[in-house]
Amino acid sequence: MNIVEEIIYPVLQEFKETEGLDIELSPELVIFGDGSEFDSLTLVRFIIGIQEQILDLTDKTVVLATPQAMSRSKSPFRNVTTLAEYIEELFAEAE
Amino acid sequence: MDKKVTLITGTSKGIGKELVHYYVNKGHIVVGCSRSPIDWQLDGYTHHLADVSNEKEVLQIFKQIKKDYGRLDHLINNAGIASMNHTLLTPLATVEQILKTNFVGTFLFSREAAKLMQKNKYGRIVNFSTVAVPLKLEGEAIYAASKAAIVSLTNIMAKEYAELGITVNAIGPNPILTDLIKGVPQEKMKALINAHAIKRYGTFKDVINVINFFLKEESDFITSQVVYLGGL
Ligand SMILES: NC(=O)c1ccc[n+]([C@@H]2O[C@H](COP(=O)([O-])OP(=O)(O)OC[C@H]3O[C@@H](n4cnc5c(N)ncnc54)[C@H](OP(=O)(O)O)[C@@H]3O)[C@@H](O)[C@H]2O)c1
Repeated sequence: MNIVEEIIYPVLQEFKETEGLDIELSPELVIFGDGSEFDSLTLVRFIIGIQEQILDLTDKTVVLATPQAMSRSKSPFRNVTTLAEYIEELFAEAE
Repeated sequence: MDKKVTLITGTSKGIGKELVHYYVNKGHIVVGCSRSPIDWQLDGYTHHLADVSNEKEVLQIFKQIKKDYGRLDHLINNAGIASMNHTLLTPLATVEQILKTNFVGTFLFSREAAKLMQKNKYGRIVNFSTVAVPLKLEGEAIYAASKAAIVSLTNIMAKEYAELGITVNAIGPNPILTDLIKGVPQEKMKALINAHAIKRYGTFKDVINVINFFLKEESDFITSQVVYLGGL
């Protein structure tokens, strides 16, 4: 499965349309931290959106914002690429 | 206008069962749950067998609601258990059971409900506390503590969900004659009722009146409130 194309971009696209977020979909798009267009609540809603997209497509219930993930020195939520790698990691763990 | 979708926990008997009948009659689509099966049926009501503290079972209910209705307007976190005992005599298992049902259950349902509600930027969550919290009743330490936690949860979720168009409030019933309090001695009940401004048992109607106020569309500026019945 292409995580960026099938999971992350559709959710970002929806946020772009419904929330009027001024973003360009790209692997480098910053999600969390300096340079992010997301305020804290939008970020929370985005994470919920990603979890839901995963559930809809794979029937897997994943929790993204675990204490372990939040305390990593490099946040998995930094940008689209790091998020995709993190989701891949969670999928591998679940197998 | 679309029918309102209302989810109520702990509906096999007592206040929850009464709420189901009331909101179905009012034209809502009502979904509910309890651990034991129900011995009654009602058109417009869907029952799930689920323990409110079991995350898997809770997620299954929300999956079904999403599939059937695609939305949720109201959540009433009514499921609750009580146990009267001196803390010196209270087993850990009882403490864990009470916290799981009353607090963890309310948390899990609220979290999942808010995820669904935020899509429409609309939602009403009503939690159940009790007068045992402000009255600091001896013999009800664990029950009252679990319900005090629900007040904190209500207050903070109200802030966290405000921008999502979701209000979160709580009702604190005074004694209402259900199975929950059938083990409490008559004298204790009398003393408890006498501590209120209005000295009588609460009724299902009293509870419904407060919940209706919280659920009203016009109550969009009412959040983080706890209404105690009977006047404390
Ligand atoms: N009655 C009062 O005087 C009074 C006063 C203050 C506050 N309250 C609050 O009002 C609420 C309703 O109480 P009530 O008087 O109607 O009690 P009740 O007659 O004992 O009914 C409780 C309901 O909750 C369900 N329930 C209990 N544990 C559950 C669990 N783990 N998962 C799913 N369902 C569960 C029960 O069904 P199963 O056993 O089949 O699961 C039952 O349907 C409670 O939150 C209670 O704390 C009541």
